[in-house]
Amino acid sequence: MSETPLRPPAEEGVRPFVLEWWMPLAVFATAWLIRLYRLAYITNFIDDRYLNVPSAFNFTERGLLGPDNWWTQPAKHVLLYWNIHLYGNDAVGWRMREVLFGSLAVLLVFLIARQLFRQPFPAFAAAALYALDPLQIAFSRASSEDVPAVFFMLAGFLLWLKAIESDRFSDWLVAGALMGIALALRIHVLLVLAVMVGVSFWLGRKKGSSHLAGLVAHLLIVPIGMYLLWWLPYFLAGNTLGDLWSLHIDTYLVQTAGIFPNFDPAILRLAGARRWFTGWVGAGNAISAASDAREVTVMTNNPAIWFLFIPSMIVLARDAWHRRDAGLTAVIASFLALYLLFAVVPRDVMVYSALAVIPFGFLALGLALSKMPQRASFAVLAALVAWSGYLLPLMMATNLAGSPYRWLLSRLGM
Amino acid sequence: MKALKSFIWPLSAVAALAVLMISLQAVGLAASRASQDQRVIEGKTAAASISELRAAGVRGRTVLVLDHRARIVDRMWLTRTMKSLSEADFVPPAHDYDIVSSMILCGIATEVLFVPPPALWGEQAARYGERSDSLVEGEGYRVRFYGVPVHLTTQDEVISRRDRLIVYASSELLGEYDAEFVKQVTDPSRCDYLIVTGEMK
Repeated sequence: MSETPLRPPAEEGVRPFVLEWWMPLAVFATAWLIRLYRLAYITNFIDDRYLNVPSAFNFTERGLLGPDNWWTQPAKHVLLYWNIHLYGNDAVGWRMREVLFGSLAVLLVFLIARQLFRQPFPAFAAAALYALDPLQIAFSRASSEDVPAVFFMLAGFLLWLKAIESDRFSDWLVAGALMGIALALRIHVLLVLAVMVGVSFWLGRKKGSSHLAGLVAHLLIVPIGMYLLWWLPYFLAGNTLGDLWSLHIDTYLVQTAGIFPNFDPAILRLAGARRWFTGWVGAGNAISAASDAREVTVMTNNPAIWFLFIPSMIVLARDAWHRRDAGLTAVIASFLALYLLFAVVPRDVMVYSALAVIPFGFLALGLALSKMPQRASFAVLAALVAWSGYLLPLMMATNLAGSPYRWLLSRLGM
Repeated sequence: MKALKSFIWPLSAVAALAVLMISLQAVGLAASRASQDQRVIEGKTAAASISELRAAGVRGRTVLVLDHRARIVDRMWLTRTMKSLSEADFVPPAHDYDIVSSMILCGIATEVLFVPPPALWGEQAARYGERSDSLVEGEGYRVRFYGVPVHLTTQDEVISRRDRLIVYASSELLGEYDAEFVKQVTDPSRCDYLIVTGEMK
């Protein structure tokens, strides 16, 4: 791997702001509107009323890790707590955080793709398809922590890509801090951080010990510090560093031993990481206790598109090899590391864990589409957008009775 | 000198992390400070005793439970029953029938040591062993409720610890424990709150 990136240089000259930003902002605005649509109408979604909301109050005010699973990370609770204070203790207040971070994650996919590929088409393709992904939409309208975790992970990844190119202090610092926040939301982000550390050390191996010490500070010390800060309510409740360490040991033991109590059988319909790219994995959620049985929000993968991640990763790997590009290599390594973890861990992994994996898949897909002849790439992108658009009503809390989705709903056991 | 300068940032980051860790440790220790005196609460219901501890500002402590069982309610049941948990001004109640959960929810206990009478050890070990979320720990087990570790443990292991305890004991069962053990854990040097109630139903 070369120390200097061999990707094509960025376009020269100062382009007007509108020309530079209209495309990402248009994709972001579309994503925002889709995620906001009929949000208040969903008064019931998995885990919100009975788990996530009381856990947010319990942790932030009393340092207690429950009634949600006690091994859940702390930033989830604190962010939701302040979100409720901003937007109100109701269906909108419980989920506005995800709407915001889910839409911003789409913008980040665009910016990462532009940083990696230096062309608008793969960036637009990756972001547009990601914006319309059924799983990303469904969980951008829920109160769970996966979407904010992905947002901070992608933001950290983007800053890291800039840092390995510019070697600017502020880029390194912010990248480390963002990854620390992401870790405080979902611990599996640690794998992406490990990839970033590994690639950074490889690139900087000949730059001297002070550079390597700087990397340790930026990518290990800063994330650890940021991670610890989110645990402040736990310390305020009378716990010590030893207690926190013991909590993490137990988390590791529980996760690796496959001990998972109290999972609702309905939630287990979402299990099955090995089928993410080849079959439908999902379930429906009645949007309110009084709603029609067909008035649901569906949480599902999208195998027709996700399957394309596999050949796209091969295309990306070929490009990474030819260009000796650290950023592209990190995308592939992050995708593989996260997916392999979920595929081999000895417990049920729910489909929402795929939210951390798919941004890297969409980046590869965007690049793969751009490698096709221009007409074909536009045609394939249009077909994929049309397919995603067809699935869109499944996540929009509309009444699906008599709809053209019976084949899919029956596959999802609805 | 130049070499030293280039290490200023990494060294500063390490120092900042050390300061943060020391501060968090200090916050945790300050929040769980034990009293130097011993106070005995006798003959009250469990809920009333817990209310008294809360009124005294006791929190973040290790609680030793000496009783025939330490029931931990199912967290899903608890949540669905107490819907008001999602309200900002909600105050967790104390239940006479569920001392361990109540002490944890009220923030009094950040660690629970449950020692059943020796004659009941086998029965309790079997109960904990059946739980899908219990981890083997020495001769006993460890489960977590709202993140707080609850240890099913032996008299010897409690004696070997050094921390100051809140002792919660059922008066009818105290005679079933080793007298030396009871004497040691209820001594004012080890225990700042001794709560003796009737048998917990």
